[in-house]
Amino acid sequence: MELSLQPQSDRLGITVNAPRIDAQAAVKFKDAVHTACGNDHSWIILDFANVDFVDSSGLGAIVSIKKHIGKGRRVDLASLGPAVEKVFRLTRMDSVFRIYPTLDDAMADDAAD
Amino acid sequence: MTRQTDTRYIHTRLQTFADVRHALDDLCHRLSNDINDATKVAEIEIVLAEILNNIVEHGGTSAYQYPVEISWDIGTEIAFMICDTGRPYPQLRLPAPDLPNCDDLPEGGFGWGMIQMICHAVSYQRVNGANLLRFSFETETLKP
Repeated sequence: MELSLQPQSDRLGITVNAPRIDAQAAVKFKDAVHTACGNDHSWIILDFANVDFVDSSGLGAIVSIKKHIGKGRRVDLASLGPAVEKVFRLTRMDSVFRIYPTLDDAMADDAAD
Repeated sequence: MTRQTDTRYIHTRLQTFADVRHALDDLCHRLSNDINDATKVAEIEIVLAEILNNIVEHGGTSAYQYPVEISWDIGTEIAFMICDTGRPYPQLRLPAPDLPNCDDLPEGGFGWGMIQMICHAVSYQRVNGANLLRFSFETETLKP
């Protein structure tokens, strides 16, 4: 899965360049993000501007990234489209992540907490 | 004015998640011909994705020996019926719609909760070796 990386001081923006994080893509997505994260950043922002669709497998992969890859560091989300936002809202997983309108908003956020 | 009910259907073999993607693509294209509301089509896609993924994940080999039949009646609401020859549901009933607790950072178990929140009148029957699942969506945005 193709990712674009935007490192900036303490944080790393990861833009997912795939339209779907679904049952077919979930494992590849998780592995790609794992490889991209490295150890240099304490705050990971997953940018879903190019993602139209997330199913429960995709949601599980995103939570898994926070739980395992994000251990000891922050993982947040940016640019959820309407269908993706709906899945987060219905499952109440929107309470687990900070959700920024855009990646730029997350990159410009000075308040760490 | 009462709208006449139209029935549409597709038959599709579902063995892999790639097959599910193709089926969803086809279904959403067909639904967009009748429903003038992209948000509604997106909601329906979420439900169909969960159900079709479940067939691939839990249906076993008997699930893809025959095509899955997906039919939907378009009238005052959209009423779906999905028939697959996969393994019967556990205890021959619908799984509980409970969502896992967010605080535990659950990595799965969201599917049936989402299905039951988005659509209504969800029912399950095991008939002649097939799973028969019915569910409906309200919509006020059907194209004339």
